[in-house]
Parts: sequence; C-alpha cells; structure tokens
Amino acid sequence: MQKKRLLLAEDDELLASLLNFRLQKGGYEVSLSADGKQVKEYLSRYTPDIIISDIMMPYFSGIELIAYVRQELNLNIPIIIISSAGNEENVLNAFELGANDFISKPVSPSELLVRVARELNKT
Amino acid sequence: MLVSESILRQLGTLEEIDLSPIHEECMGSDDLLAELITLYEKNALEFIGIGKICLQTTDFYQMGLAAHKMKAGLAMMQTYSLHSIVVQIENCCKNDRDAKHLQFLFDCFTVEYPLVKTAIDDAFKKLQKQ
Repeated sequence: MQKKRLLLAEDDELLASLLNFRLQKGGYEVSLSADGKQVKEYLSRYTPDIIISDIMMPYFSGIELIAYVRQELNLNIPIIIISSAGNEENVLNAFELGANDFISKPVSPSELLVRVARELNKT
Repeated sequence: MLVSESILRQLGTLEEIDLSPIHEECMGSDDLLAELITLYEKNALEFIGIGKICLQTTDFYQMGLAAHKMKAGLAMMQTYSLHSIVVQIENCCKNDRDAKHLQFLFDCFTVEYPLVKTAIDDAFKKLQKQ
C-alpha cells in the first residue's frame, strides 16, 4: 500500500524533528517545510494527502497557508493547525478559513498521530 | 555576580530534569534525544543572541516573538524554570513593556540556562545508563 503523503510546516526544528520521526514511524511519507516559501514551493509540485502547519511561520503564516490552499489552489485536503496557548484568535480564523483540526503546543506526537489518522479516515 | 544570579543561587531554583517522558516520545531512541538536546541548546543560544540585540534596541515586538517561539521547546524538554521565565518575558513584551524588568528577566534566563544545560546533560547520562 502506498504511504500517505504529509506536509509538515513547522519552523521550530526541535518540534519538527520529533514530529517528523514519529510520523515516519507511523507510516507516513513526510515532507518538512521550515517556512512559507518552502511550503509554496512544495505545493507547486505536489499535493499532499494532509497538511500539518504551525500558525506562526516566517514569510507565510499558517493562516495564509490555509487561505492559499483553500482559495487559490482550491484543494480540500485536511489541514491540522498547531498553535501555542494564547493564540485563540488565530485558531478561530484558521477554522473560519477551513482548517479541519487544531492541536496546541507542546504537541504530543501520539495525539497528533491519532488526529492525522482520524482526518485521513474521513476523506 | 549579577543580582539575578545571586538571587537564583540563593533560591536554589534549579530543578532536577526528567527526560523520560521525552525519551518515551522518541520511542527510546537515544540518538534522536541527543539530536533534540542539541537543537534545544541551539534554540536557547539563539534566544540569548536575539535577546541581547532586542534589549539594546528596546525591540519588545521581536523579543516577544522570540520568547513565544521558545516556549514549546522548553515545555517539551520539561525545563519548567526556563519556561516560566520565558512566559514572563513574553508577557512583559506584550503588556508591561518595562525595559528594566525585561532586562532583569533576561538576566535570570542567561543565569539559569547554563545550570539547566548541565542538568539536562546529567539527566541524559543517567538515562543512557538505565
């Protein structure tokens, strides 16, 4: 069976390393993007099965990413947003723009794996 | 000795660090945990560098942003003393905007960090022996 493709957009290398490791162990093909430029570059070539994105990223925020995917690329793939506490307004914006789920930092990789599987099962 | 250093030493704030939860998240991989510790140290040193510049230029916005970015990693590595300082730095940048207090908090961070680093190294050695 072909592995599901996952785009992880997170500029915190520490968190990205741990999540990348666990998601790969969980059977996903993971592509990492550390900023908005890399996200756009990736999306111009590939369509992942699911996107996990931090809200605060250089060049292109997670909010802009959702708008770009939903409105410009017109893609309906699941998007899970990662956010720190105190970012409630951004989380609401994210849902309004079409985010499917949200997980708060510090992210539990085990919880994220469950949420990713749940979103992919819906599609 | 800085006032904050003296206070920290008197208070003996340094806690013992338990790396076993993050080791479990690493599925027992010592190599991955070692990599995360290296990244953690890199983030802390970058924060210290950014902090020094922001304090010189009184750039509360960038300092607050840097503090915000640091929080998750500090919590992830169970280093709650530094996490608490960084949360206060972020609040100070967002709300109080008191440069003197910000300097004090930043000094607390720079004094506490080497102690935490040593504690992390010790905790990692302990974990490897188990």
